[in-house]
Amino acid sequence: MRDALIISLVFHVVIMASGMVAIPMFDLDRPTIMKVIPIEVINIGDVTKLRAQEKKPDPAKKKLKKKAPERKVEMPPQPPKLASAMPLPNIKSKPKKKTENKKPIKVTANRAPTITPKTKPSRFNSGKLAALLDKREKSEPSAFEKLKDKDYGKEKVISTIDIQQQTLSIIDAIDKHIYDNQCWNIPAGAKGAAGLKVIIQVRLSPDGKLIGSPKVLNRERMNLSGQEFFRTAAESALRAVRKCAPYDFLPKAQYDLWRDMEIIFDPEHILNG
Amino acid sequence: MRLFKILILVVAGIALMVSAANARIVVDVNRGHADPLPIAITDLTGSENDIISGGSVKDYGQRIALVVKADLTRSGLFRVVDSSAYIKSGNAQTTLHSPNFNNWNAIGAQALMNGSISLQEDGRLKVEFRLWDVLGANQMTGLRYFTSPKNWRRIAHLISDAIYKRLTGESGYFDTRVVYISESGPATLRIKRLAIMDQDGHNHVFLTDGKNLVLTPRFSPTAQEITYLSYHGDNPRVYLYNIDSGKQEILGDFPGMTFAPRFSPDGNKVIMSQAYKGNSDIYVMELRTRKIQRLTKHTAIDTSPSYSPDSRYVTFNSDRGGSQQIYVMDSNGKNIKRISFGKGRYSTPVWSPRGDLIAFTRQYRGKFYIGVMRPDGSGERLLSESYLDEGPTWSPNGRVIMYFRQQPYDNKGRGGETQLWTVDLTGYNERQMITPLDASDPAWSPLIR
Repeated sequence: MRDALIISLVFHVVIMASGMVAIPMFDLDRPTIMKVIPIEVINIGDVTKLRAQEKKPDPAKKKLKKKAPERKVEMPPQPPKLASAMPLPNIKSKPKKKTENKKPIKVTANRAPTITPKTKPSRFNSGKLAALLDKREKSEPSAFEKLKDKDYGKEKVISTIDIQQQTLSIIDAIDKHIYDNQCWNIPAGAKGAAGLKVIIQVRLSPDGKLIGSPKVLNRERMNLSGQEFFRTAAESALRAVRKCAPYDFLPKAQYDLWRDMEIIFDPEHILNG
Repeated sequence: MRLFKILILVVAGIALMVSAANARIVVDVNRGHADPLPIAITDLTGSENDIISGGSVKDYGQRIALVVKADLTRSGLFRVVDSSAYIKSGNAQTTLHSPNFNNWNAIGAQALMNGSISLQEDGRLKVEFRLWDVLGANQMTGLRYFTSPKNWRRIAHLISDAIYKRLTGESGYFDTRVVYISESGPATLRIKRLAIMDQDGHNHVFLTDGKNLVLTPRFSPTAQEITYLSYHGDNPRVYLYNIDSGKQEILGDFPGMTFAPRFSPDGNKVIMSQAYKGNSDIYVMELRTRKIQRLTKHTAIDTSPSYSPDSRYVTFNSDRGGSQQIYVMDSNGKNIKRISFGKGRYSTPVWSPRGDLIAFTRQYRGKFYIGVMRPDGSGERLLSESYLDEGPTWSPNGRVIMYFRQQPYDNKGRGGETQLWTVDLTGYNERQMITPLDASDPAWSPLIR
């Protein structure tokens, strides 16, 4: 009885330990096979012998040819719609926001008493006006800046801040970083695009750089036939994570919190909402 | 007993380690952008000294790259990184098998295509390309083609299709053609000819001489046949036109007028409307046996039938409910259901080759719209709007719709030109196709095989 228990114990431990080591190994990136696939292309003429029946009415053709260049000039190269679809102007407006953001944050930061007195009395009237005008930004304080502040005053503040709040701030900061830097291109227009949720596992170094390759956690759909859209979505999420690196704005003091992360890229709200 | 305690402790310890390893922040990203993917396309490297008709092998390499760039840009899903940036970052001499990914990343390219072109001893071109993931630093695909130099445009389209497929997950639509009605002459004496061109407007050819009026051409899913309506004398008839042989034949001899023909997805049947004694209904004809089956029997006008890609259903429009609306029925004519309920008139429903959507024309308050809805009628979205938009046709991957647009007439009676336009499913990427003359009634071919 006793021996059996020991043997059972040892085996269980071995199996669990090997599982912990071996299962993550499945996720490791395999080396890419560098090969090209040869394709023989036959002459289009052999497949489709197009017959130009239009040889007699030469004068008509000439007239047409004259017309053609006129039309080309008239054509708008691209409809204006396209331009409005590109959210490029965001880039310009961004720096403004950030500088303006700094003020309201300093004013509203409830846990930084050392900073608030400085700004409040000095610009009493204009500050109030500005605050009224800046209401929109205030209600949406930049988590990014919050974190930076936290980092500066960490020794004083760290004990009073709830871990949960820190986590939320980090999550907000990463979400905002990925959005503001336009790292993630949603797979719009793909069939069933709304259901293409991708979970990426990321490990970061203390200076916010990626350690190893980010991994797709829900990759069971990745290599199934008919799931090419999922592979596309997964690759777009991986590109987003890589493009947005390094994540050096995250507070070093809370490195333990953000060393390992899962980032879920979920287009459902965008495409269905 | 003691051992039991140890066992529990060990198990608890391992469980704790596992949960500690998994304790990580979960960031839910549900905001994103729908920007085109920045891709760098380099000229295919080739020898300047090998001369073939039309230029050196190097010239062909540059031309192929230009066509690939144009294809991908037109799709709206890609942004080709400005080629002057390559030189600035010292990438002009790209190493084919190990690009410097950092340099490409620095100029904002997330994907890279490079390749080579050379002349074989038998006079054929060998074209090879690779597609790289710049951020992930690995090869995504690589293909090699052998062909006669005159096929260089097709090779470019095939490369575009391969890149599109690898990066979007969907098959491309660049190696395809479009057949349409070319129009010329005054409104009272309009000459309408059947014409065909590549999807980018090149290799344009007229197929008929314009003596007889032609309307509503449709491609067979097997690519080599077109069905269309033509008036010989005063009688409109549905014709089959074989592109290979140039042979035309009348499809059946119906007692009334037949119109709005369209192939079934397997290419073996043609579904159409027939007007007989003042009533239009939908009929289907087996091409081999010429057997005709009647699908609808109603006093209303039933027309514009289109099969679902699995051939199980047919969508059509009918005014049986009082106004012109879209209906779906089983392919044997049973279970007729109305799916459009919006204001205005709905017409020309076309089932997407992907099966998930039906494109249609909607007319409402003096404007025309091209839109899509799911086969159950939900999720209606309007993609284009103008004075007159009509006749949607799908790209073979179900991602782009081509239609024709007529410009309004001004006070002096000028205007009224008809043009071909494309719009993708997002509704943002609306572009005009350049044709030598006025153009209407486009029909997109499947991929050329």
